Amino acid sequence: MFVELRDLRVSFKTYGGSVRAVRGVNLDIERGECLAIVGESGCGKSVTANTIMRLIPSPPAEISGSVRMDGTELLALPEKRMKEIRGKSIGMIFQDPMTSLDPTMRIGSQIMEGLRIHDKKMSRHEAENMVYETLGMVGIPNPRAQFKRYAYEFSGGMRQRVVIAMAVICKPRLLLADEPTTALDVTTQAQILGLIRDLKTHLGSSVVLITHDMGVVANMADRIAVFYAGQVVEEGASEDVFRNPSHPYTAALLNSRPRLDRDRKQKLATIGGAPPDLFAPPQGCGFFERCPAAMEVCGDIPPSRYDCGAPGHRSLCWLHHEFASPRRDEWLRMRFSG
Amino acid sequence: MLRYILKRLVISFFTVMVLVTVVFFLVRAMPGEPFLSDKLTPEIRENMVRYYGFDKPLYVQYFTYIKNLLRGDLGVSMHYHGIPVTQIIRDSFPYSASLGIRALIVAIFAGITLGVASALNRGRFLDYCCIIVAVLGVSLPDFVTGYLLQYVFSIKLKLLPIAMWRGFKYTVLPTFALSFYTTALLARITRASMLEVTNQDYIKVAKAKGLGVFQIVVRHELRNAILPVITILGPVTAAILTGTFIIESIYAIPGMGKFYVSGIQNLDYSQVLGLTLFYGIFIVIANFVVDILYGFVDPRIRADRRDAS
Repeated sequence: MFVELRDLRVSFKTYGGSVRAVRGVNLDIERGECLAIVGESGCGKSVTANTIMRLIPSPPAEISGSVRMDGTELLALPEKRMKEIRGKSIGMIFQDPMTSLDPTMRIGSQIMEGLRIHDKKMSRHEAENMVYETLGMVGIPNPRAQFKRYAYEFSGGMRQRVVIAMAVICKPRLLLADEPTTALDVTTQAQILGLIRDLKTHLGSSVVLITHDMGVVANMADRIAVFYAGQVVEEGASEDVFRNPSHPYTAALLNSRPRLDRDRKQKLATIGGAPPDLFAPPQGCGFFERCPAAMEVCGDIPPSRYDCGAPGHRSLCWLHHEFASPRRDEWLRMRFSG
Repeated sequence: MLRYILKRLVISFFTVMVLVTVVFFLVRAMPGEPFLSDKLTPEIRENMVRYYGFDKPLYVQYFTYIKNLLRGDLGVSMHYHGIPVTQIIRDSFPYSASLGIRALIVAIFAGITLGVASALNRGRFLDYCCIIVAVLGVSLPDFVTGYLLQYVFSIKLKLLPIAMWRGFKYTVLPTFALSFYTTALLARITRASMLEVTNQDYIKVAKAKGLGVFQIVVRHELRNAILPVITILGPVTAAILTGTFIIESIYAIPGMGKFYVSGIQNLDYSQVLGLTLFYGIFIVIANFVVDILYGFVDPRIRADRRDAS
């Protein structure tokens, strides 16, 4: 396996207590695949990505568990070695292109900086050519002219292309895209996603795409991991998860998409309630209070992970326990009837 | 850019003219007259009044002053009989400027270093040390700092001369005494500004590129955090270079400081006017330089100017 997260836990100490943002995440990322991490705000998706990069200062954050890349334990690496991995083996694309670029530095220098820090022998000339090439690759016309420009001279979409150029200039094997299209308008969104897909094919990198947009996921992902309250509640091949959502949260999430084939008078479906307070995480399943199929056991004992038929399709839900099969059948009927 | 500079020069000229006018009339509105000493006979007094033109109407005096000013003549001192104000400035300013530049250099280096060190160690021991130094620097009056340094380094430790201005050794204590306040001020501003920049997304992006702490500070944080520091540096430079009464008195340095005070005490109109004007021009120039520097540091400001002109 290329990247393995095992029982990853991250919590932040605050004056009000400890926020347990990530509560035991297990994830595998295969070489060359695109894994989508889906979930609502505050479910720990970004924290997980930032922890892989070790961008979360610890302390104050408390991090435990394991992040292995090609067998190397990233969480145990000294900072000096980690610096060599950041930007070179793992590239990261951030959410807001308007604030991701240094306003006082030419964009060419900003891109080149990442390149030359990892290859000190590279001449300035070589590096510049490399930047031109990458700028062309991310679809910025006339790279030579853009090199000396500043961030404020670009539109949001173009800035995101610059941010992507910074992330891929060293041809990283793993690309973490943290909501790369959230801050962009819809047409630009499609272009940027297309670009990330092309880069993935071109560079052969694995991509972890963090989003809360199911449409984005359907377009891009080979596999999906659904996050809820700091845990992976369901994971599986993209097709399996969309066709056969096996966790009530995933089903509810898919059900609340706006759809063209629905009656116009029908209100958009929502998930009632709010996610649990991560200062004091619930004893049992985090979704218990909002779950339409909740059982008595769900509130008391945290669920285990169960296989849901298709290979690699797993769900963190009691419904898949053998004793719960009548309840599961009831839920499935309820789900399909509307 | 050239148009911008020209525009600024014209504005600066008017600023200085307004300053001259206001001070000219304010000085004359002070109670008393310059020649009130008992030792002067009425004849002598009359001669002097005529010599300085006080017998003419106020507006005539004003225009005469402006006319002379435009030729670079600041008039003759009334207290130091017959000595032109330009001469006073020429004799005393070099001392003040020499002390001021030293203090400024120390303050800029120490202030920014302290501020950066403090911001990087936020909430830790070093941060608290820097904050204590900064609070002390801002709150201790310079007559306390000045005497304290003399007491410790000259009287107790006998390391440095206590006063006068006769070579490098003599400059050390007054330089530190003068720079202390500015160091503290710059340290506080740098710290606050650095902390703000540290939380920006592009700093995280820089870290994600694989840059180390030092590289991030030098290439990204400082450059973005320096604007407020440069802003304050304009008036601070003007104030520090044109002499300070207290530090110069304590260390017996023949700088400009004492002339500000003696001018007012003696109701020496031309001295007060000349020195205020000199100080004012210094502030105008310093702010002008600061504005030009802005453009170098922040390309967005440069672009705004290009668009405006």
